[in-house]
Amino acid sequence: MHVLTWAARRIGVTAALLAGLLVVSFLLLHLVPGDPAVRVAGLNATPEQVTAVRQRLGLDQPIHRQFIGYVAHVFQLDFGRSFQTGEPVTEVIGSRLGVTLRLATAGIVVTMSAGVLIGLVMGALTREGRRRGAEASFALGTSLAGAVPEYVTGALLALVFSVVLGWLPVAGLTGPSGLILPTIAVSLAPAAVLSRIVRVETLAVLAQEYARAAWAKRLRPLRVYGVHVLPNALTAALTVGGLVFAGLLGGTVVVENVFALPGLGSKLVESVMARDYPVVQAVILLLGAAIVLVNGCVEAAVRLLDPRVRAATS
Amino acid sequence: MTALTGQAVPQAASAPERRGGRRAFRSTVVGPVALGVLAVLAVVALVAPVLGSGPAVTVRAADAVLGPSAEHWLGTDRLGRDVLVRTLVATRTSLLLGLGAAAVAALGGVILGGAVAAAGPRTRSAGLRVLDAVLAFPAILVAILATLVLPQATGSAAVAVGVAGAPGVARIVVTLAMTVLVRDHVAAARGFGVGRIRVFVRHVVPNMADSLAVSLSVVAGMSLVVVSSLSFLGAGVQPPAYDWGGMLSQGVRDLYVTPLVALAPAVMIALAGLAFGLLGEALARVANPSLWTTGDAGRDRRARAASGAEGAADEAPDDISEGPALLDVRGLTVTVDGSPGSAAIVSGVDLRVGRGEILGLVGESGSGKSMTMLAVARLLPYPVGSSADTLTLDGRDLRSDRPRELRRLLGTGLALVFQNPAACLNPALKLGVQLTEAPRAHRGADRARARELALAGLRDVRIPEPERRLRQYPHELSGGQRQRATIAMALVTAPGLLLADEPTTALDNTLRRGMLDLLRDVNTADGTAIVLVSHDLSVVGGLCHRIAVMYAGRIVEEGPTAEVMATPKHPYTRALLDSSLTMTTDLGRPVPAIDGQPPRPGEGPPGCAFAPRCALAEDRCARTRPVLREVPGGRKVACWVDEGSLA
Repeated sequence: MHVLTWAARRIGVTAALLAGLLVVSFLLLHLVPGDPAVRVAGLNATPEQVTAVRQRLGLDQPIHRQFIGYVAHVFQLDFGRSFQTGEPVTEVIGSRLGVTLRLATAGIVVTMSAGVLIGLVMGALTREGRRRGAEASFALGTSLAGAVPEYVTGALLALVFSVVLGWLPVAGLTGPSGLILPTIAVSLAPAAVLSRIVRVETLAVLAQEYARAAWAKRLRPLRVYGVHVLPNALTAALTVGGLVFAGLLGGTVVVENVFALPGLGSKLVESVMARDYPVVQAVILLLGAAIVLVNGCVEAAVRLLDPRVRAATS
Repeated sequence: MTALTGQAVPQAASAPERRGGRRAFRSTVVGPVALGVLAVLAVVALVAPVLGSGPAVTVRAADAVLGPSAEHWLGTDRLGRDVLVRTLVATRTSLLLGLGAAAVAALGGVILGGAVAAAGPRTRSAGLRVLDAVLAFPAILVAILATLVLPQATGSAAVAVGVAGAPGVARIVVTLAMTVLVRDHVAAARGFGVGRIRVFVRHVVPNMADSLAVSLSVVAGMSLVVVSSLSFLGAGVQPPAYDWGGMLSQGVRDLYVTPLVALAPAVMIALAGLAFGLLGEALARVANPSLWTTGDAGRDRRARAASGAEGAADEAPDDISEGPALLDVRGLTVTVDGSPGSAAIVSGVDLRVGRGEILGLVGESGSGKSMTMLAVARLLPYPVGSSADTLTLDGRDLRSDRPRELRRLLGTGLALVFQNPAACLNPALKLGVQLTEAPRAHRGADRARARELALAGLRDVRIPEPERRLRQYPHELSGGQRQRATIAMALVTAPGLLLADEPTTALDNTLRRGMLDLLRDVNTADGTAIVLVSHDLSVVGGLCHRIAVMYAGRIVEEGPTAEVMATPKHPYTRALLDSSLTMTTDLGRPVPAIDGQPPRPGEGPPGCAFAPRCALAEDRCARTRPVLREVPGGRKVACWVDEGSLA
């Protein structure tokens, strides 16, 4: 497959996923049992108020018209106003995006670097069945770290570092230090899982003839691991990178609530509880689009980095 | 939390394997421990609400935020309720909701996955794409959205989380079903015109039940955690009902006041989630031993290393190598784990290779020839170890254990080519990198000089357009070119000795011929000495100046190629010759193989190791081991049977 064909196909798939996302976010309001207008206006609203809401939201129009109108508004980045505060949704999101973006970026950087580095080092240390004790401890430790959910990690971290030791703020965004504990909380489980994958992958690469050949060239261990092993093991890490990112976003939603960070995740939960549909729709679209786009980029990166994948797809 | 898709899909164990499976499960250690933890939790879930539901909800303002005491072991919360009692009582709700969610996920997943798997190929691939797309979304997000649509009741949390988990289960179901659907009896049922749904329910579901159960244990753990996080966020269990997640949410708010309110449910969530996860992992290992990466891997590896110990050492006759030997090995012993007491893979091998000489090292699989070679190159796999009375290359002692020293000694003097030469090239690196790094590391060559050497090396092995090759990745070369490039890579530091381990075994006939020609050219052009390890005498015969035959870790015969092939003195050599195919072999007649198996390291008779398989064996052969003795014609043989009777 030519690069352009491949790119065209990838872009097509991404576009289809984004379109699906639009449909799902649109249907959200209509899947709710009962009259959406009543839901929006509130159970105590008078029939006149309900009618007014229905007209304002265009809910009296046929559903395909509603959808077209919805899409048109989305493309103008007009998501309406928050039911709760009356602010334009774009402003609500704009004020919340920064925190989530910082937390997610810090999370992915920490997860990827820690996961790959620890996995590679453990793979090197436990190659050919060396250091069985270290291997068992690693397996147990990563099982533990991978199984404990983010909000429990977060609560325990807050307990130790904020309450007991008093080193870091327990909640709220008070400068960069406020992001340290949340970042650890979102990164710990994915990094543990990733490091296991990278270790297994490192062992697999070390068993290849080309790895033996690299040792036979008497290169320094740092060069063997860094130049010969890492790129091959990294491909595997990248392939699960999309999943790791999705998990991180989910974790971000939860961890923002643990540490009372004013991000998209805490806004989403708040809006879901308040049935603030315009905000929910917009946040879902945004997070969903981020996941779809990141996965597209990951696939492109894998193709770029791994000549074998490039060969297989060409 | 991890997404389900990241894990390997376990395969079901067949019925006869089950009993062994139970033992294997017990031996996982974490499996029974996890099961025990879950049993305790189940008892707590049954008993605690009966005994403690009163005290758990009674508000006593006077007792608010007490620390731990004899009366309240974990203290009390903001409303004066006992934290321990509440935590234990919440076990029932938390477990039930987690299991309920897992049940919903399982049911939904099997139906959804079944529909996708049973569909036609086009629908199936479309369905898989949609499933994968949905799986890219975090379960907690999907669950939160599902609560929007569901009525506000306690059970809704389970349904919401179940809905979020269903696509993951469906993905596993599709994978499992695809492997079952191609099995014979299922294919037969379909052939008889049994409907798709019926085939799925009657044949596919029962066959994947075991594997599915393993996955569901993991799903249960994740569901429990996600339900708790829903409650934690306030979208799950609604007050006054409470589960661990709800308690934790309250506890985090009061973290400075009463940390135990957060700690107790946090520990319980982690414990329960971990127990389900570890149980699933243990079950998966039992169902599919290949997933077992931490358990017996080392032992297996050791066994493999020992049984794969191919190759033998061999000695060059003094009369052929002129002057001091390039490689001089005396008394080389290789043992399974490096200690003198452990089973020997190679025993007391002497080996001398002169400059420019090609030595063939021949023997069956497991004769110790590869291990001999790796011991010489100081590249033995862990935990195999070696010792030798003498081990010198070009007069330099190689018996150092310091990596820096070995790099210096062996970096330029010795090169290796492994069994599948083309696979020696790293697929992720351009040839330019791979061909220049050794000269840069060992010859102190700068970039330009290393490039010159690499280009010259590629020209020497007659690869066209060498400049372009350096910019290419291995997969851009043909199979034959890749092998040549590997040889060029090995020779770029101009080593005096090349060790080639079965370099032709993985190749087809055309490529094999090309490889042998190339090795001969290398030898004649540059005077590079070669040790060629092979199980095939016909490969060795055309190329080598001298042959050493190895059996069970010892050299049993050695001499000039032509003489050894014409008049083999050891019965094993003769058997090898008889069993090797040559261009002139009459393919109309069956190829005689050697009956029996070579002994494993540490086993075998006290006498000649070949005696049990030898047609000429006498009484003393099994009792006393014959030593390698010199016989006329620059040859050596280790056999009691008289030369005359064999000729």
